[in-house]
Amino acid sequence: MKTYIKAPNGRIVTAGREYFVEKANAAGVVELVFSDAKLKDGWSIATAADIKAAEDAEAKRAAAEKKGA
Amino acid sequence: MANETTTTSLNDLTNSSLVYPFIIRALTERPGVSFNARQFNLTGDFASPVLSVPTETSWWGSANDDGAGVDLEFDATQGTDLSNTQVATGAVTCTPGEYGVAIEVTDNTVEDSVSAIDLFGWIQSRMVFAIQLAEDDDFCALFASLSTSVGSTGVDLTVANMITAFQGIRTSGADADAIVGVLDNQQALDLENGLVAANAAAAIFALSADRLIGYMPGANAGINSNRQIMTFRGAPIFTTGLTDTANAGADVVGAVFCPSTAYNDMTGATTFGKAIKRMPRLETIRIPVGRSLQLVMVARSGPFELQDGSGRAVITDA
Repeated sequence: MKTYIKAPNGRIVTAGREYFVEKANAAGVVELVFSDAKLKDGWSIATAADIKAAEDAEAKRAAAEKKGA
Repeated sequence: MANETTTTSLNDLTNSSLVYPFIIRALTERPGVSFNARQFNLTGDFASPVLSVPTETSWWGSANDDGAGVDLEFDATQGTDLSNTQVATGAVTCTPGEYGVAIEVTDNTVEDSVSAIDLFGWIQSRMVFAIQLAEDDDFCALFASLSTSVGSTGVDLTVANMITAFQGIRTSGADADAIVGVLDNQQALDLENGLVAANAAAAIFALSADRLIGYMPGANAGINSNRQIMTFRGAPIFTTGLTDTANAGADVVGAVFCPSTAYNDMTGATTFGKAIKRMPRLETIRIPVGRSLQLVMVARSGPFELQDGSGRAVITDA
């Protein structure tokens, strides 16, 4: 499942592989875990609310574009 | 007439079909964009899973800061001791990740396939091709993390956006002998549409505008293997379908950045790097109980950002 991050200007993008580090879980299995330390200043993990807001904005814009066409 | 001799009456002698010894290749994305990254060779005796590259921290201000870093800081007065200026560094790090693909081919497949087709050669070539695409996809994922972007969400890419991207790289202080653009296919289409758009109001200095844009179509309009669709302001512009989306799929993300050249590497302009820990390696193992041969292709590498300011994300309508 993809992880999304939010830029200071509000844009939401997919977190690339460079944001993840290998870490062993409790069972000793190595997993890829998102590392907050890899985020640039002002960036954060996008919350479900952020993603929903982006989806709603896009739906609204697409509807307006269709109406205008 | 009746009683013709047909393929049905002689169906023991005729073939309903025969396999032609030629495979029609699938239409696919082309790898190659990650060659614009500076490569760091971690194979051999580099005994660490993480690469750390020191970065210089400016103690003399930033580019385009109106001289704020030097207007007063280095003024000296007779007889007054100077105070120390601290020199510091930062670092960019990269942890190469593994890539791998395994394909197990049964003996029956080899025995029953058309002999003129090099089955294993075909499979192996596509294994390394797939890994190259996976590496390029991770490289393209870096574009979205560039701090500065051009374009507006939900709005097509324009010529003005591209000019802003180029100017922004210069304004950030990049000293480069080459710039390159990697755009999503939609962005390339939008840019070409923008170049042919008609308008009642022509540019006042039309010939200068044409030279400023510096548009030249790529060979075969980018349909050949290198996917260079145009030259814009002297920089090659490539297209790919590996670029990511942004803003819940509303937009696509390309980039204009400084590729790795000897000069760009020296001046610090090179935007992206790629650490290579393990070159693509093919291993095979015979599985007697399965009466099959398993081919495993692995690689270990990682793209990362070297210089944030020398690149511009191009984020525009999907």
